[in-house]
Amino acid sequence: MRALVISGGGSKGAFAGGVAQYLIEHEKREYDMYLGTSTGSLLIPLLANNRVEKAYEMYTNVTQRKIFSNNPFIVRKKGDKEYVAINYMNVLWQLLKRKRTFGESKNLRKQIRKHFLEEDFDLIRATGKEVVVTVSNLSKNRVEYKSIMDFDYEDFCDWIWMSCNYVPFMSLAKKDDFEYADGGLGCVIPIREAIKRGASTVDAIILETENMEHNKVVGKNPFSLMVNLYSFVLDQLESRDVIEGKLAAMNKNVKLNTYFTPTRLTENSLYFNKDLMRQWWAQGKTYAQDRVKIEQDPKRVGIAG
Amino acid sequence: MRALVISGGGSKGAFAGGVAQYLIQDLNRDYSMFLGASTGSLLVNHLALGDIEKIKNIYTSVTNEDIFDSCPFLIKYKHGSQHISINHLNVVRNFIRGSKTFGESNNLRRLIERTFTKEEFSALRKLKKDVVVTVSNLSLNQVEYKSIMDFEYEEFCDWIWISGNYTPFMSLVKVDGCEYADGGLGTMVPIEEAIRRGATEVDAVILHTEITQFNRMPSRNPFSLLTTMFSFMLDRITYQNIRIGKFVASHNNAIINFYYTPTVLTTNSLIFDKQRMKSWWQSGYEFAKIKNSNTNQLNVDKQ
Repeated sequence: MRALVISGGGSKGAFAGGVAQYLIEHEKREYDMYLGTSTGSLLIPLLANNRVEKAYEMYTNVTQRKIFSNNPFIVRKKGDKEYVAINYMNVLWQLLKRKRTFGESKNLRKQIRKHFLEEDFDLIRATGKEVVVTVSNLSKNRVEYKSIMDFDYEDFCDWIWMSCNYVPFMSLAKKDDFEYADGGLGCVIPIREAIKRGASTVDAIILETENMEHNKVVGKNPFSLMVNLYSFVLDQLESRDVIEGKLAAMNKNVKLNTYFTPTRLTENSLYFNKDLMRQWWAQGKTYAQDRVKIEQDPKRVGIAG
Repeated sequence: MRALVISGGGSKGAFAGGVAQYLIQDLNRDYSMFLGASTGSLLVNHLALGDIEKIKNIYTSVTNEDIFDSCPFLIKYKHGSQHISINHLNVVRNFIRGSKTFGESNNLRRLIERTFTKEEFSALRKLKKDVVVTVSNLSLNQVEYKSIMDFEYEEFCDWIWISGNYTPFMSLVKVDGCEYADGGLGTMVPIEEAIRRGATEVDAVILHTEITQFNRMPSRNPFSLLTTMFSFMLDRITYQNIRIGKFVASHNNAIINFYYTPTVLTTNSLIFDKQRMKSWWQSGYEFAKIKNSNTNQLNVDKQ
């Protein structure tokens, strides 16, 4: 059984889209299982139906408006460099409304419904492909994996949405009396889950550079410190998830192909810039091409190994 | 080579102390390596010295004032149990002072220096035992392990302190231009590092139950949501460390003995309550005793 696993990573998902497009369209890889976290969960239902052009359209036409109903970020320009700052007004407004998160992402829920229609949903179920999204159950303190087979259309759209909700900047959703947040908080890249579900070959797209050590500027105020701490812990979780996946693959004799991003794409993956995302998509495609060449050339694998 | 690894867990560290007391005093385990993260880093120095009475006294008499000089919490008693709420006044005062964190823990630094003296430090270095604490380097985005062998007294005290600094509630410390925080943010249970340093038998005290046994109450404000999410992620890190530790151990033929807490000790490990910490110490001691009497017979069979 062949599985495609896509990690979380916000706007960097465009790169994953490019890689997946190459693997599916050029390499004609047929997957029986699709697993995703966060941005990966958005991609996989479309990829499972081979609707790559739809995913491309969604990822290259995205704006902040299409995701946030209340945007906690603001884009400022310093010279010709754009950077993202916190929109304190919006955050304050959220707090005054007695909301617990800094922003709301209700628009994303609408986007999901718009791009992933009920007929797409039925088609996936009819073909018997398994599409699994990762969510974090904060109330029960555990990571949950939601398969398309177990839910109806509306519920599954909810799960996709929750899997992407990067709390505290996006909505915190409640379902069945439990509070759910971004799957990335629990498991950024569910390679281990894919192996548990019986995959024998796993293609994993990891939206980070292979070596995650880089210099970070630690923020000047408590708010940005929180964000820094947060991303630090997430990075640690991610690198550990990858190691765990590799170890599990070694243990179970599973073939694991990893696709890391060759360079660090962005500092803030919650900032959606159409042009950049189009670039990343193209970059993903060429990168996958090179990687596949290396994989298929036994001599070069020998040297690398 | 035997190693003792103690995970992070704030006030629950008292339980680890009890377990370690039994292992060191009653079973006479001779460890050549001690690794700790967060609260574990505070324990390991005295354990390595064999001065268990002293660290027990510290852990069973510590109060919030000994740790925080600006405490971001208020503790309220409601329906017989302790609840934590944010101390808005202190937090605002901290912001005005230009601090990046909600609270400051300079008192903990003083406590470390008071209880772990320079003489003890030199004695410990002479023992040739490796004492390693875990810290998170936020600027370089990596976890670092600091061994007692590589530092002077003052520096090492700093590392112990940093390892225990649960940011954003405690201080954020700058060393050599890099900003450091609690080791627990990166590695909760440094088993992997112990094995990498050559340990063949690891006793790991994990201040966490083996399976999650509680439901979290829904958070009521952004502040408590953040703490909820943090503890969610830290729990994940604990489990990851354990799973990777097991993989690495089986790969290197090392043995790990796990000591999990048998019950959920507390849901807020930042409240330091003398009475409860005393009872945790005792229950840790009893637990290690029961656990070892159960497993000893197996050892006899094997031999």
